[in-house]
Amino acid sequence: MAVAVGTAGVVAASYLGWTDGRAPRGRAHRTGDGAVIAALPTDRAEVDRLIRGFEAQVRVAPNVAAFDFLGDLYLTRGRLTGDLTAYTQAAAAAERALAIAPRHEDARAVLARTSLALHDFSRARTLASEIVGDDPSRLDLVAVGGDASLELGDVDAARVALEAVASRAPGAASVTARLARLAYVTGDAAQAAALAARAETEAASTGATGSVLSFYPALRGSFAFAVGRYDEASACYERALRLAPGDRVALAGMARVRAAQGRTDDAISLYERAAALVPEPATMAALGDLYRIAGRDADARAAFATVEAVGRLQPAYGRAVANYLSDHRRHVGDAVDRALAELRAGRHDVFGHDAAAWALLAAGRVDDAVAEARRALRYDTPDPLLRYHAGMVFAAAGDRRAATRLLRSALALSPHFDPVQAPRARAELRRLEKGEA
Amino acid sequence: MLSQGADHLDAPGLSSPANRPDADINDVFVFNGTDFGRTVLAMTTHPGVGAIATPVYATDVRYKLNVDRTGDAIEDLAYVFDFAPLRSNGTQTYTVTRYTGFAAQNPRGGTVVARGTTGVPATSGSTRTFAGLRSDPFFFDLDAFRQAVLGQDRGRKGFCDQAGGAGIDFFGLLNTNAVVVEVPDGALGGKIGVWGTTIRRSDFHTIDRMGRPAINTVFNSGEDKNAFNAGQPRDDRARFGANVKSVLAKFSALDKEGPYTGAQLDTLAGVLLPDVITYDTATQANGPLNGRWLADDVIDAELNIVTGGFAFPGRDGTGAIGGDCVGQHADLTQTFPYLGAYHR
Repeated sequence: MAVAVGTAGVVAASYLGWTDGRAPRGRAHRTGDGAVIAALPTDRAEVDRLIRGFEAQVRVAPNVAAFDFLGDLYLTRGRLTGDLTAYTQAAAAAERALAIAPRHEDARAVLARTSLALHDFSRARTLASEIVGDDPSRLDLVAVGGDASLELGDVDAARVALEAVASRAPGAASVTARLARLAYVTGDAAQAAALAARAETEAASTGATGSVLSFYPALRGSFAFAVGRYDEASACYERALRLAPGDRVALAGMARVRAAQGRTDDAISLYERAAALVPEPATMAALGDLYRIAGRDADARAAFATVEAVGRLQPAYGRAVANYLSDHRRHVGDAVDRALAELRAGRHDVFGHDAAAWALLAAGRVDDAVAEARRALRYDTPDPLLRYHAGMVFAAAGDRRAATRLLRSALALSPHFDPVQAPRARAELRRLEKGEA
Repeated sequence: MLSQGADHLDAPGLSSPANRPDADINDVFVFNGTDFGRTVLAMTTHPGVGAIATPVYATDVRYKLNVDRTGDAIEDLAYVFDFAPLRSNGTQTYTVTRYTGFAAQNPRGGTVVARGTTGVPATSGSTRTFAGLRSDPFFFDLDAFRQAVLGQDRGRKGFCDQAGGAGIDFFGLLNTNAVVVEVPDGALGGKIGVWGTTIRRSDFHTIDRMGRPAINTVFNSGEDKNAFNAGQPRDDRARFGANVKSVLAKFSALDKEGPYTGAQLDTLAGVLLPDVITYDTATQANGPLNGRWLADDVIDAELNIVTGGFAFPGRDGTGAIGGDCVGQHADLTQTFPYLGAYHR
């Protein structure tokens, strides 16, 4: 889905510092007998211990090596917990290092990765390109630049960067996964699925375990879900959760699958587990929708209030909050402002135009919405939510043919893509088809 | 990105060799055991374990301690740790296989001399083994090293620039994985050369290799770092001797006595390469030239040599870096496996 896969991509970007080897590991480990163990010191506890120790060291003896390491540790904490304040801390550590050594490359690299994690993609791309200019051997930063380009909608630059990395680091799972996402965005679901499968094999064969490995089946799950393969998606997320029971991306992905399968109670409990780890707006909005379906209106109101509260605090969630507001026809002016602000900041990816189209429609600006929907459709991305939004926009604009085609295509891709929106798509399609008859 | 111990994350871009932190060697140690007539070989791996790497041994990698008993820098004895997959209780079982003669280079067949489980010291006959998480014994002012030797701006005045003339030990808080084997001296021989490798189980390709600390880090750059990791000690002088001499010449020139002479460079390159820890098992380890005990400040000795401190006739070595002003960790033990319990 637009939001879901978009989130996975961003998480991927911040996740895999880039090489599998260098990427920090999750807290559960795959075992020979398939069980999950907790007897090893968990990565989370170890990361927190090291953060405490190095924070104490820099209070007494501030030094670049410690600030570098702290930057990496905070980035790891952010990846493990989804707590965006960890990225702010990572940036602060990098700034301390740069105050001591102004051109220091590793600190600038931490800033590039932090900017990516906090959705400041223009800055991430600029920083990455400066570092690579100074040191062309920094393939990890070429990859960061590719990630940022993809999020900015510059798929050609993303392709050039990622293929350059792939050719110099063949068989690197994290690069293959990025190419999978590029294939998906540019309309090739089959290629995306094939590349994601290859990435999972590559990651497993190079010793990845825990939440680093679980990222790959979770990515495959998101692609399978987008094209309506719910059983396959379920198997992927099950695999991910066996590897890392606390993988919030896999928990939310599995919740979405269960909702599509009509297993609302299971979906709610999975979303609740994801929300307990970190109340990300997309998760809270989906949870609120399900609470409402289950007749739990008070819980729904609390979940929706969380979306708005978190959204006010964290600009990185602008798009997710805009989509929520548009879905619920709440503060639609705010939704439009948030969606257009992302475009103005240079983020011209298809999901950005999609969010803008959806918000503009909610605000009644149908002509503007049509223009944005056309941009969102430019790669024919196989995303049911994106096609549904565009279909509704064209329906409002009176273009029955385009609307019908898009709504049919969204429902054909994934008949139950969203417990609230898919029935609306079906109702609108029925209305359009009646009008045709 | 962080660079860990003496040989940690030393491939270009400071990524682990072949992007495998679970095959990345931190340090190698060779020293006399506490009990008379016994020698200990140890290799630490998994830089940044717990934060950067999972503390799990790979099953497609073999962890190999190589011993040369004839002085030709070719292994004729090896102890190889092979691990089974992680179990649900968080441990791995392993075997230690001893290979002699040509099989030491091409480790097929061999004799299983020990079996064990990670985290628990094991005894099999006269062989003691350990594999698992420990406190990292390496101690070093990484930050000052990067400024003074690698030439990066770190805002430091140099080594020993902290309050009271102290340095900053980057490694005091870190853990590492370690494989340790202790055998009677007679199982090894008298004068030996030792180095560690991690090799692919499928074709025995060498992923990482290390003898003394920081040789690859200090003397090689770019693709030579990878070539060195995958290479054989017997080829070190021919392939990397020029790199060593060039770096020695550059850094010794900073000494007020000026650079080493050509003949001195040849002598030193001949000591530093092949990258093997030499040790006489009949003696107490005393790095850098006779073994490496966990507390031996081998890297300080190397820094001193690199910066012109080696005292040849007519050259007193003053003006070279004397040390980094950080010392051994307090958690070493006098009993097997000698490395301290892991930090938690």
